[in-house]
Formats: sequence, structure tokens, C-alpha cells
Amino acid sequence: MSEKLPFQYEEKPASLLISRRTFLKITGVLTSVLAIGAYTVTDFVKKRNKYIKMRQKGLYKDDLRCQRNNLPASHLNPTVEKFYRDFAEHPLSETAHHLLHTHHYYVRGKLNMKGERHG
Amino acid sequence: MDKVLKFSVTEKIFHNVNAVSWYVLAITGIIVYFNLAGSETKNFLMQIHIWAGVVFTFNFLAFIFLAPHRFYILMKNLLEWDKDTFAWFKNLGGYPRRFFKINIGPEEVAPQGKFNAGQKLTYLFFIFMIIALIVTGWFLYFAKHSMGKGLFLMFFYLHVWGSIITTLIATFGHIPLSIANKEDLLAMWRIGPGTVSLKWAKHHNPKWFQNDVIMRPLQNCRDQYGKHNCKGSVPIFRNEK
Amino acid sequence: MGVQKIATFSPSEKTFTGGGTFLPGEVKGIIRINPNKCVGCDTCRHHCPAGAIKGSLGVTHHIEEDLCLSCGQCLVNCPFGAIEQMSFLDEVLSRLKDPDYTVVAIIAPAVRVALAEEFGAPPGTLTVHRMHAAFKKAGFRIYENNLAADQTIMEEGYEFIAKVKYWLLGDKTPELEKFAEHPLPHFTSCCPAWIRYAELYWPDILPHISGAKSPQQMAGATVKTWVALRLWNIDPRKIYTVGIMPCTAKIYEASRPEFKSAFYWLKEKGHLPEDTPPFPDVDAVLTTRDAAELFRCLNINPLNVSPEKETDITEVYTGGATIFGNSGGVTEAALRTAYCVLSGQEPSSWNIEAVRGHTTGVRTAKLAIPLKPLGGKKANFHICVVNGVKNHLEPILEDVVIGKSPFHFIEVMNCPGGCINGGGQPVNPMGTSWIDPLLPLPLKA
Ligand code: HEM
Ligand code: SF4
Ligand code: SF4
Ligand code: SF4
Repeated sequence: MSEKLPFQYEEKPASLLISRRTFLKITGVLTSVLAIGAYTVTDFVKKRNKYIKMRQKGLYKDDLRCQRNNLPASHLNPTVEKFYRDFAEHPLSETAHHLLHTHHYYVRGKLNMKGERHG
Repeated sequence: MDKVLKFSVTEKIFHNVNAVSWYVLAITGIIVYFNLAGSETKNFLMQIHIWAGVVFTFNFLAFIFLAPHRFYILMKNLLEWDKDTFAWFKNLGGYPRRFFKINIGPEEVAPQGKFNAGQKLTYLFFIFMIIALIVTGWFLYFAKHSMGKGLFLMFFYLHVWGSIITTLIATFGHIPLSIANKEDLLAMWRIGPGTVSLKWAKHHNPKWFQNDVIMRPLQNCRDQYGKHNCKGSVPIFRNEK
Repeated sequence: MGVQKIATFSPSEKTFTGGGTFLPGEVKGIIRINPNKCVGCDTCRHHCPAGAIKGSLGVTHHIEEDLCLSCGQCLVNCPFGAIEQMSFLDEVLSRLKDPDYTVVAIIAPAVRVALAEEFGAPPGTLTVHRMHAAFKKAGFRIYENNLAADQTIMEEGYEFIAKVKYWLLGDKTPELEKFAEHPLPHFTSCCPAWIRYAELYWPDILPHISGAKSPQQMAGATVKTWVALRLWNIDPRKIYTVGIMPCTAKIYEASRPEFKSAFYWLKEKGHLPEDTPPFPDVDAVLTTRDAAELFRCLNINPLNVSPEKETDITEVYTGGATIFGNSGGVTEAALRTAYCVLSGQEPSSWNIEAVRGHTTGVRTAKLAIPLKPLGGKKANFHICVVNGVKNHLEPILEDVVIGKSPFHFIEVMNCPGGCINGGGQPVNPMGTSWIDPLLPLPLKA
């Protein structure tokens, strides 16, 4: 016993500890966890604008309904025709100028100078 | 005298950087989330939180990509469950008896591997949470405005409550137990080799010691000038009980 | 799917005082962040087209009123529902109860595909006749904002054609003289958040913007003149017009002091007694959410009322008008009419896919339209549709300012997707207005 060599115990190298099966098992567990996570995230991200698209589709549906009723474009609206015939004469007329056009855009920076220009 | 190397340098670096940055993150995060400071301070703490997050993330990535073999060994130790591992739950490793005088299950603790069943569960959860917090954290930072409110809220609450629960487990489970196991604590935290005594390893981790550990004479490692040079050393496989 | 609950608050003394970038009488502070609910996640700041939100990660955010466009995009995108909207619902409810008044609903296109969400239907559920019936049941008369959108196309379309004649075809006849000050490209004017954005940050662009009012303002002025005097025979002073809008900026638009044109016109024509105090064209604006709240107060579920069989003359509208609510819709509607007027014939298909914004930030198209006055010679029109001010508009305005813009006609909608995603719409709890890629990383973060 007196001749005992100094030595240290340590883990076997990875090549001996990790068999092919163990390697596949660990890799499998890790990839499945990551894949499930990644799938959930992409799924949510893909649907993030879905409500916008659905509402847009709703309006295009209304458009087609109007087209079927022979009301595809503004100048074909009978009420608009009546409005000009009875009242405003024609687009850009005097009346239209008064009621349907604006004559005021303000340079708001000059109302007060506090607002810095955004850029 | 004889030592068993339990934690390699890479594991020690990973673990200790992870633990320190964890608590920096937890404390700054909790102060900001629960509004425990004024907005100036919160702004500053949040900056610290982000930079600690950078350290935390790169520490984990470095462990995985620079020492994949150590990561795989760790995962193997955590994922391999035999009937002795399950038997550990019968008396919860004898800890209730030792600390609280609660007598449950048999006196004898079933022989465990490198980690006992409780550690396996905890560490698997920790590693899962580390990944989850890294992913959610960076999403919350870079894609909060673009990923949609539903996903954002899921990530947000996973990040906040996941981290709080994990911190509670670490603070009231993991740390006290690690302090109670002095040799493991020293192996993990001392500046120097991550070794425990032969007796300790045989007592606490008999299966690991039996199956996964080899003996390497240190003398062979020294060349004629007395310097470490292990190239020529031949591992000696143990087969005694 | 459900919708997110958005808190509202009533206007206060300070609301109408003006000051800063607001004129007296203009509603300010329509959108505000509730400091008790804000967790400082910083999402809203990334959605604000005007840089009006201040605050850093983790810190309670606030809105600088003077910089704010009232567009409500921050509100739509706050994951915590921490942003609130000023509501005039109480005022409208009390007017509905007052038998002296005829309360007129001016219902925007985008409302009909979103209102149902507040009552549990999926997004995009189209309600037209049911919605009309519900408003009538609640005591409103209806002037379709879509009808006003048709008027807008007539006015703005002819204005654009006049600009084209003056600037491209070199027609300098005296009646076109006034367009000398209004060069191309022509910008649309129906989005009040965009108008305020230009007024605040890009005054150089103002001469390019169409002088046609937005449909809401055209509707208000028309109801209090033509409809009141010629169709319904009621005293314009006893009409209370309510814009039912997908939009929080419309609340602000209606309060702009210049929009009292019906009053001045009626006065000039001697329809009003001398002492009548000025009244606005549009008296109040309810958002789609407010309208849903109104129906809930009155115990009406628009999904359950039996639909109207007959369409009043003030409810007639065209397909061109109803797509105003979608990004690219104003452009498409204008092109449909412009094509017919310029070429003297109908297009083979009314659908112009090339200018539909969908969820693309900027769409550009080159369209050849045969010109009847030039014997069918085709002219190319360069069209640009800006789908959301944030991230998309600035480079286009820069080109216009330095005179390098290739476009003749530019549509700008502040809200990504168009008004169907406006700040007054039911808030979808899952989605986002962000139509750009998830990353590239926001470098200014
Ligand atoms: C600062 C306080 C901490 C102390 C004193 C501490 C102590 C220890 C000790 C002594 C071990 C070895 C246990 C054994 O195998 O016998 C260990 C392992 C481990 N700890 Fe901690 N720990 C701390 C914080 C954390 C935190 C915050 C986490 C992560 C959430 C963590 C995750 C782990 C993991 C995953 C292992 C197994 C790692 C391996 O063996 O490579 N620790 N810890
Ligand atoms: S998005 Fe909402 S919670 Fe987040 S910072 Fe803005 S207001 Fe606060
Ligand atoms: S309402 Fe619009 S402009 Fe105002 S702070 Fe919100 S996003 Fe910005
Ligand atoms: S795009 Fe429509 S909803 Fe949005 S601010 Fe402009 S007008 Fe309002």
C-alpha cells in the first residue's frame, strides 16, 4: 500500500459514455422540444395579420355584391347623380367648392415651435 | 486523499456564470416588473437586465457549442432513469428525515448516478427554463411589436412567471440543498479542481462511480521535467466493487 | 375569438382649449396611456407613426399630445389594453333621447366588416342591412358614409383629372389656373391622421394634397344642406350628425374649426336666422367600439335584428365606395371612375388587383388609360399606395420634396391594412398591425 501511485478518478471520455443510441436519444429529445416551440411560434406569427386580411376580404365581398347590383363605380351611383342634378350641378362646382372642399391645411409647426421635426 | 473529478472546468464556468447572471437578471427583472423603483432607476436596471441577458445567453451558447460533449454527458446523466432513480422518490433521498425528522419510506437511499432523481428533475427544468427564457427574452426585446399580441402575451407571462418560479426553486431548493452537500458545493464553486473525495463519490453517486468513472494515474502524466503531460497516459479501467 | 376590452373616458375642460399644435376647439388628448396599466413593454412606441410616445423599456410610457396624430395605432397594438380612448357616447345617447333632434349616423365602410366582432362573430363578418336596421332601431337616420365616399371620388377624381390636364397635358385654360399651386403628385386627403402628419412634419407636401374633404366631412356638409333642405325637409339646426368611424383621428377631424361649411353656406343663402351660433358639419364621432357599446346600452344585437328590405336613397352606395376601408381602395375607386371618364368606356374588369394594399407596405403600379380627347392614345399613370405611414411613407415624401417622385397619384392611409384596422375598430386580442417582417432588427431600439 505504501507504493500507491497518486491518481485521480474521472469520467470516461464522451466517446465511451455516449453510445450511438444515447446520442440519438438526447438529440431527439432536444430537437423535438425545439421543433414544437418553433412550430408554435411560426404558427402564431403567420396568423398575426389574419384579422386584417379577413376584414379586407369582407369589404371586397361587399364590393362584389355592389358590382352584381350594377353599382361598381362612384359615377354610377344614382343618389350621387341626383345630388349633382338637383343641387351641386357638377363636380368642382361653386356649391361643391363651398361644401365638399377644404381650404385649410395648417403648418402646425408654426402654431407652436415646440414640436421637433421627427425623422 | 484520492479525488474524483466531478465537475470539469467548462461545467464550472457555465454553471457559475449562469448562476451569477441569473440572480442579476432575477433581481433587476423583479424590481422593474413589480414597480419597486422610480422610473430613472427602472430605466437603468432594465439596461443592466439586457446586458446581463447578453452574458447569460452567450454563456449558455458557449457551453453548448464549445463543449458539446460535456453538454451531452450532462444530458445523458439527466435523461437516464432506471428503477433506482424512481426508487429515490420513496424516501426523497432521505432528506426529509435528515432535515425535518419526517420519517417516510425506507431508511436506505436507493443507489444513485451522478445526479439523484430530484436533481435530475430540477436540472432538466432549469435547462428547459434557461432556453425558454433566452428565447422569450430576445423575442420580447426585438420582436415585441411584430409578433402579434397573443404570442407576445404568452411569451411575456412565460418570461415573467417562468423566471420567478425557477428563481424560487433555485433559492429555496437548489441552493440550500447544495450548501448541505458540502463537497459538491466546494467542487462546483472553489477556484480550483472540481473534485470530491473518493468516499463522497462512492457514498452519494455509487452507480456513477461504478459505471462511468475511470482511474488515471497522475504519475504517468508527468514528463521527466515534472510537468503535466498526459498524452502518454493509459487509462486504467477499474473493475473492483 | 373575442375582442380586447378598451377603456374609454369622457372629454374634459382641457379637451377643447387648443394650444400647442392644436387650434382652439380641436379635440386633443383623444388617446391616452393609463399609467396604472402600462407595464412599459415598449410595443406602442414601435407602432407610433409620429414618434409621439415617450418612455423606455420597463418604464411607464406617455403620449406627447402635441406630436400625436390621434390615430390610435398604439391603442390597437398595446398587448395589455393599457391605452384608452376618449368617447362621446354619453353626448350621443342624450341626443338620441331628445325628440327635437334628428340624429344622423354617417357609417364608414370599415364599420360593416368589424362591428360584428364586438358581438362574437369572426373578423370580416359583413353586416350591411342588419347594421342599418340596428342603427335605425337605436333611433338614427342614416346617411351612408359610403355614399359620401362616392361623392369624394367624383370631387377628388375630377380634381385629379384637372391637375393632369394642367400639368401633364399643358391645358392652361383659366378655370384650371388655380391648379398651378397644386402640383403632382396628387395625395389623397381622406385620412385625418395622415393630414395631421403632413401638417406637423412635412409642410412642404401640403400643396400636393387633394383639396377634397374626407367622406365624413362631405357627408356632414351634405346632410345639413341638401338632405335637410331638399330630401327630408327639416331644420338643419335640429340635425345632429354622428360619424360612425373605425377611426379615432376622425374625432379630431370633425372638430377642426374649418369644418363648419354647412353653417356658412346656409347662412349665406339666408336659410338661418342671423343669431344662429356656428355649428359643425359633423357634431360627434363614435368609433366602431363606441357604436357597439351604444348598442349594448340599448340592448340591441346587430346580429339578431331583422335586416332592412328597402334601401333609402341616402343609403345607396357603390363597390368603389365600400372598398375605401381597405388600403388601396380609394385608389381603385378613383381609377374605376377616372377610367370611365377619361376613356369614355368601361374597363373589362372593375377589379384592379395591382393597387390593392393587402398587407404590403407600399404598392406601386403603372396603369395605361386610353384618353378619349387624344383619340384613344394611352397615357401611363404611376400610382403609389402607402399602406401605413409608419415605416413606409418617409422615403416617398423625400422623393416628392426633392422633385424626384415618379408618381402621379399617391394614396396614404395611416393604418396598416387601411381603415379596417383603424384605431377605433374592435381590437383583436391576437394580432398586430405590423405588416413588415418580424425582423430586421429595429436599429433605433
Ligand atoms: C447561486 C446559487 C447557486 C449555487 C450555490 C448552486 C450550486 C450548485 C451545485 C453545488 C451544483 C452541483 C450539484 C450536484 O450535482 O451535486 C449545481 C448544479 C447545477 N445547478 Fe446550481 N447553484 C446555484 C444557482 C443555480 C441556478 C440559478 C441555476 C439555473 C437556473 C442552476 C442550475 C444548475 C444546474 C443545471 C446544475 C447541474 C449542472 C452540472 O452538473 O453541470 N444553479 N449547482
Ligand atoms: S404597449 Fe401598452 S403596456 Fe406597452 S408600453 Fe405601450 S402602453 Fe405600456
Ligand atoms: S395615437 Fe397614433 S400618433 Fe398618437 S401616440 Fe398613438 S400611435 Fe402615436
Ligand atoms: S387609415 Fe383610416 S382609420 Fe386609420 S387614421 Fe386614417 S382614416 Fe383613420
